[in-house]
Amino acid sequence: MSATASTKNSGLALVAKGVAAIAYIVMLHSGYAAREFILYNKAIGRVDYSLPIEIVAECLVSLAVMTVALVFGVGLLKPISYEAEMSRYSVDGVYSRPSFHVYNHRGRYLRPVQKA
Amino acid sequence: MSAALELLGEIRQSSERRPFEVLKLAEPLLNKGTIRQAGDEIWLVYEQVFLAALDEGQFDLAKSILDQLYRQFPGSQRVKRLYGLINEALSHPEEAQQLYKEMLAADETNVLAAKRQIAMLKASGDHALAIGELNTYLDTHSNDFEAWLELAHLYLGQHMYAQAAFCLEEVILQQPANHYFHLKYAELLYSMGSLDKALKEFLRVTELSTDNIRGSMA
Repeated sequence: MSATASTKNSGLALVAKGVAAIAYIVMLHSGYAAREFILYNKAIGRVDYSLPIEIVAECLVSLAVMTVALVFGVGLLKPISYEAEMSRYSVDGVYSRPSFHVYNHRGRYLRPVQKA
Repeated sequence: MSAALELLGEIRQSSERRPFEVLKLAEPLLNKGTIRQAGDEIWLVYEQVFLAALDEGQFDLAKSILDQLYRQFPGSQRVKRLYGLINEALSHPEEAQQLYKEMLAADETNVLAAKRQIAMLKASGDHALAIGELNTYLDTHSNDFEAWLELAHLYLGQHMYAQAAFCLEEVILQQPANHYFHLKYAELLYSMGSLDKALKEFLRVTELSTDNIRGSMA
């Protein structure tokens, strides 16, 4: 992935995170409004508790906006296929068998010993 | 955490044998004391640098690291194995053998010590005896794919292709999704002349790893 693409993506993610935060606040607000509405109903002695359409719509729309915004906000998803996992391993590493390494080899003569 | 420590961690996880790089990365860490940033992983880094120092023949460095490891874990079998390794590297096989015997006497299921004994036979050039010992070891620890792979290589060294193929089949049984083992098996089948089976295995390699050039070219 090129550098420009990654900055563009991170900008989009930032905006999406902001939108998600605003939607969250709006959702909290709809909950608060519902509570106030019920308390008001009780105070004036009305029996019909059904919420007005504005509050229900506010809640549902904020939920939908937040869901979409979060999907865009989390950034690139990581590849989780087994092949992607295997591509991290090299052929040298897989064939190396560290428990059976032998140490009486010519390694010490191959280059001058550095004084530590 | 510094970039050098991250690189060392990557090399450690890949289990590649790259002593020169390890020492080059670790030298400034050891000299400046920044190796302490590794936190709990510091002992793994020490072990890794120790093994690299053995490979490069820097025995003074290896000894100083081994002292630190011993001070931290006085009764550890893993550190005892490192003492065995430095004895092997300094051409004292009898003392190393003695250490491994003590480890096995303390706990006869210690696979690391058992594997070192086999590796020492290999180091002394007695591959036939190493094959025999490894077979005995695999009777008990038949789920050790690393040992099966080692046995396959020893058989290949003796040109016993049919036996090596059997060992690789055991490895593939335990790690069926690892395309590197399929690749090795495929190349072995090709050497044995069973081209139809080899082709099938090469196709399996390209199926498991779509960008594997060695498999596709074959």
